[in-house]
Amino acid sequence: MSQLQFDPGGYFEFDLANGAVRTRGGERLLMLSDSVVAPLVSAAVGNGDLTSVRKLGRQLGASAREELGGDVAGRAAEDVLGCAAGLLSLFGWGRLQVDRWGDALVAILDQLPELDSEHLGVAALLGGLFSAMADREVACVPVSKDGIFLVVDPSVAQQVWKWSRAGDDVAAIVGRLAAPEEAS
Amino acid sequence: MSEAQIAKLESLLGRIARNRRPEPPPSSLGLAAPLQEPVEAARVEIEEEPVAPETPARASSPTPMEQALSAETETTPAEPELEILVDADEDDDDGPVITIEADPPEPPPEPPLALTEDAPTAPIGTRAPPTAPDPSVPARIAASPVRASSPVVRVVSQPAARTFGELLERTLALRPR
Repeated sequence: MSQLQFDPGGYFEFDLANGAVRTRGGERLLMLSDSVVAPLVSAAVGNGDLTSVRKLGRQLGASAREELGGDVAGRAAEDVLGCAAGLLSLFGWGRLQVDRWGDALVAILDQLPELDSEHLGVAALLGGLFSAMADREVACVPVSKDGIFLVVDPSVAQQVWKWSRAGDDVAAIVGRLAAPEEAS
Repeated sequence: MSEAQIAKLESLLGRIARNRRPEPPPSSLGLAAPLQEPVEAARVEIEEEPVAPETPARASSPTPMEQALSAETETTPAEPELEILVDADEDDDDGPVITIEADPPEPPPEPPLALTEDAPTAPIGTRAPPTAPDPSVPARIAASPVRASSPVVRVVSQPAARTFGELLERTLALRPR
């Protein structure tokens, strides 16, 4: 049961006198339309460099860590994921839900912005978000056109992506994965 | 049965055959005519004939009786004792009736059962002769059913991940099978 709820109240500070928008943590933000961001993300996907989008996700993850007091590994999963979902919603990236398929985590993002056809931009954003929260590299691989992403180690991300491109659905991909003692 | 007993039996049968009278004519009712004179019971005396040990009593060719008796004595382990009864009925004109009764031989003791590969599992006459396996036909090997000495399934409960760190650690540990 979640003991902590993310409170979006007063998160943004619109400094109209100085023409700046800041978070309550002091970071400055730019208000951009999705119609502007989408071509930028598509260009990054075409160039094979989604570092900027991933960095944006890391900033959201860092914000979540700050909201949770710094240590998130020992916190309840509901608290951490609830905070992450609140931040994503606040920044307009959609509504995040996380499902457990055994040991696998599946992130479902509803109402996500249409940035690229494969949702690789959002995948990079989520990867940065979870990496910042977990303090280790995490990859999110789109496994569906409907905004479903599988949270995996970066070393198996390419294989999961191939399975998804080959037509495997979430259940099939999760079934192909196993714990190390079973996989060997 | 010893040869001396066989010889005595043969001589007795010969005497009975010689003393047999002709059959009376059948009456109109098919009944035998009553005898006018009372008939005394004939007593047959069996004379002991000494048999020289050097001269065997058996003839060169065995009689059918000998063959039958020898066949019986070969199959029976112990020689049964014969009891010769001579019954001279008054109403019977055929002469005295000789009945040879012998105690039924005891069945031979069954050999103890031994669980060996040579022990027959069915009468020999009903067993099929061993045939060579046909290589063109698959032969199924009847395997004995597997019996588990303990429950096959042992459910080990895995505690659910409670913290975000545990959850993410399990997720990132997944590898392709």
